[in-house]
Amino acid sequence: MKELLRQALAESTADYCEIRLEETEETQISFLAAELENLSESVQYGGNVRALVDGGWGFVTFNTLEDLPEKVRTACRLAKLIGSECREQSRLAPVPIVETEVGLLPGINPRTIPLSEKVRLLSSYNDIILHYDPRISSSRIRYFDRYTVLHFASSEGSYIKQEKLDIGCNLVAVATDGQQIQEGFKGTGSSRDYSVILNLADKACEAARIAVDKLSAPTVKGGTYTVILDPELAGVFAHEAFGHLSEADFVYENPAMQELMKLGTRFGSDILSIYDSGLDEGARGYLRYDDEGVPTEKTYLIKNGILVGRLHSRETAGKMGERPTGNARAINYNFPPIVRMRNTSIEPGTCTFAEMIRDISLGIYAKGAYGGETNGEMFTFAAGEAYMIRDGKLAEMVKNVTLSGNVFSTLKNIDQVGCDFSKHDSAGGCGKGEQFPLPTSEWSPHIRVRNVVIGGEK
Amino acid sequence: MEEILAIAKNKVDQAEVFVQKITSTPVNFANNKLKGIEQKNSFGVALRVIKDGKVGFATTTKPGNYAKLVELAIGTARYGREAEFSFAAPAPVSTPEIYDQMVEELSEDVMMAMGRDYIQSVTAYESKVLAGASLQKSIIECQIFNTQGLYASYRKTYFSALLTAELVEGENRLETYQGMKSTHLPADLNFWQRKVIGDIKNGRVNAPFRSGTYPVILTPGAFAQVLYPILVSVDGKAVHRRMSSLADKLAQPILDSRLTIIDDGRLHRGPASVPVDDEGTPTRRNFLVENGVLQSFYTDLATAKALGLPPTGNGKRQRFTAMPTTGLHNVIAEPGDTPLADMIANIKEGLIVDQMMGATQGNMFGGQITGNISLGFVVQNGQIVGRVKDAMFSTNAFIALKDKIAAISKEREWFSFGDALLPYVMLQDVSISTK
Repeated sequence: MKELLRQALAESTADYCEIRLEETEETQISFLAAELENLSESVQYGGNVRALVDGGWGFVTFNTLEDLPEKVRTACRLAKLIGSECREQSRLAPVPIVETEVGLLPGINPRTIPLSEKVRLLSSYNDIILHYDPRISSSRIRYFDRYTVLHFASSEGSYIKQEKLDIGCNLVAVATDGQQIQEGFKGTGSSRDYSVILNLADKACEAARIAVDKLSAPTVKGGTYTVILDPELAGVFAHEAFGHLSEADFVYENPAMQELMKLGTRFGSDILSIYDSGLDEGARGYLRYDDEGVPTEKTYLIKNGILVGRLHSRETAGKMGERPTGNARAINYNFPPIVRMRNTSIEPGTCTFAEMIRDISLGIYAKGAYGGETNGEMFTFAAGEAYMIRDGKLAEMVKNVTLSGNVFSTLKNIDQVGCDFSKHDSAGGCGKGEQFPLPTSEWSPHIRVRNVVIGGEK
Repeated sequence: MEEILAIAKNKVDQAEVFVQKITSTPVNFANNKLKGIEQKNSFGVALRVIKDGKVGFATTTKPGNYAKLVELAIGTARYGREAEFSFAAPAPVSTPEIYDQMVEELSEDVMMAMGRDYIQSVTAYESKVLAGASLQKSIIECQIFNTQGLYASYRKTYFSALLTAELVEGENRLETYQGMKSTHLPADLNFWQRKVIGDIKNGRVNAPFRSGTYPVILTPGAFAQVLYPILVSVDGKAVHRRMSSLADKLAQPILDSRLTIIDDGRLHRGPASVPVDDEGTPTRRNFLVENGVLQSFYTDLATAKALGLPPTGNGKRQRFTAMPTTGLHNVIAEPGDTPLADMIANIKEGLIVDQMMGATQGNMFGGQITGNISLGFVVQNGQIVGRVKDAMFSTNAFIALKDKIAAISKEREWFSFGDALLPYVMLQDVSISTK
């Protein structure tokens, strides 16, 4: 394979050229209420050539290895077409030439587990949810495992073969009292070990309990509150509120954003440190080399409240004169790599949950994220589960809790960071452009944030 | 492809083969510059089988090696769900207008010129704007055949344009996007270009706004989000699995009598139009809600059988690697009576909401739409006075679209991210929370 790819690359007339080839096997299992909704096996095979000429990119995808040299020539022609208008010097940050193979981490490979066993296990979780309470009306169970072999070769001489795993499972319970419908969910995921799927009976019960309890919970009153975010929600917050802003493709050709995101600027108090790492084994956002063949690392974004770093592709790093960080990722062979996150985390601090809650006279404890979104300036997400905090104690459950805020002011309003770091993944994924859902992770501790806007009826 | 049916036929009771070939050429501009061009060719085969009364499914994008595909599909059938339905029977099909030779022949140079023109016009209006564009032409070829004797095929063209603009002034960031998607090439992009410029004009200055309940005009894009809980609740699958609150409400009034919502798979030049759905069932024009009264649920073959209803031609492969399930085609709402200008003129204090974040991420079957207003405008005494910031919109879609509609516009626009042709809708007494 290495020879085949290198021979094709020899046809390149571009400033830089790379070929990626991917073979994936995927199993998907989902239940919708009592019925097995989807059970599928898929083989995904394809690749692409990406070329850079005078600052312009050309990109060609294919499903067979036939005529690979022709695909290289086409990618170069397209790049030249764009480059003739761009007329810039192609600037990619230099990276070491790498020739290596990366295997799987130790763990139970889901591809060795018989399909019957996976279906039986998920069916048992579904049964737990459906039989939890007469008010449980339905469920959604979703499981997938993907095994990928990825080949990468560049005109600079790098050749990397990586084996990757991605595993995810989400359990959603749906309850109704005849008037309203509420949901509770729990999820898990891993990049190495099927055993995360094995002991989810308790989580299935939890999901059902949350759905049922929400039926009798009042709707939260909209307003501004002090909020404690659980590790799951804190992680999603870091990802939405700050992670996306750190993606250098939003900054590298944007003078106004560069002004706003100047390294050395204070973004939070000195208890706040946020990083993005590709090295956290087991995290769905784990990857040793990114999709440009760049070794990943642990990249600090905020350290003790100060902006110290960003997430780069070779192009953004090259144009900004900064170090490449290994954040160029493509969701599959149909897309070029763009700057994406890996495992975006708030570094644990020293505060216990008891210390955090103790002096809140009126606030909200929000847990679990129903997705999240950002437009660079504002972020928003819905909590899976939430409770009022009254006079320093957890009080009644509330529902329909959606949190929102301005990214910059909210970071400054984080006034406590927990010591209880949680390595948690779920089956969701991040969307950027058309590339959704990319596996990312958000491991974090509890955090406390002042002045968060909660939407709701008044 | 006959090869696959031949391999499968003796091993299974029924087989269905879906072959899709997509060729597309995106041309991308970012930060006021031409960045790149792509040529994408993808090919995939999906095989669905029924064996011993159970459904199996496998897909591949690796040409050849179909014996393996058959083996994988049969393997999943062993544990698959009970199939009480059959694959689609052959039926007469007519094809709506979904192919435009001008799209197929569209050159890279012309797409580059379209993007350049857009960027020039926006930056001429305001030089500090960073504009982006993604122009894309695609050709899709589909073939479906099965052991019932069905053979259907079609060729479809797509042209889409996503136009973005960003203006950062101090810590204030305005970002907007407008998009179009059609089977046919538009004469030009002027309409969407003007909308982007309008957003910049109205949105660069912030206007103060206090929490409370207000009249709110939803643009077609925002209305699409508020409509979403209704659309998921008239999904036959959600009805069958007891996830929908509308299961027992056929023939009952569920929405305002001025609302008629149609799922149309046959609209000429509709972006989501196809002659047959992804299971080979001929598509139709389905009235989901007519004058506020619930008329029908949309179904795929399995759901139609389970509900004891005729299939509505709404079998869709939401992801190529997953089994067909239910899905909508073009979502059309009938226009109302009120000119948009009058709707705005009649607001003493309220909002126009265009783009929201997170609105459809909560529990959709419950109807709760709560989102951060990422682009919305304050209206005072009938005039747009600026942009609303740090505000959240919250409403229950079932209640709002039944009891809170003040007016529906005569004008309609395509919301391209949802393939929906919708009017502007004015709601009263909407809860808005701000800092």
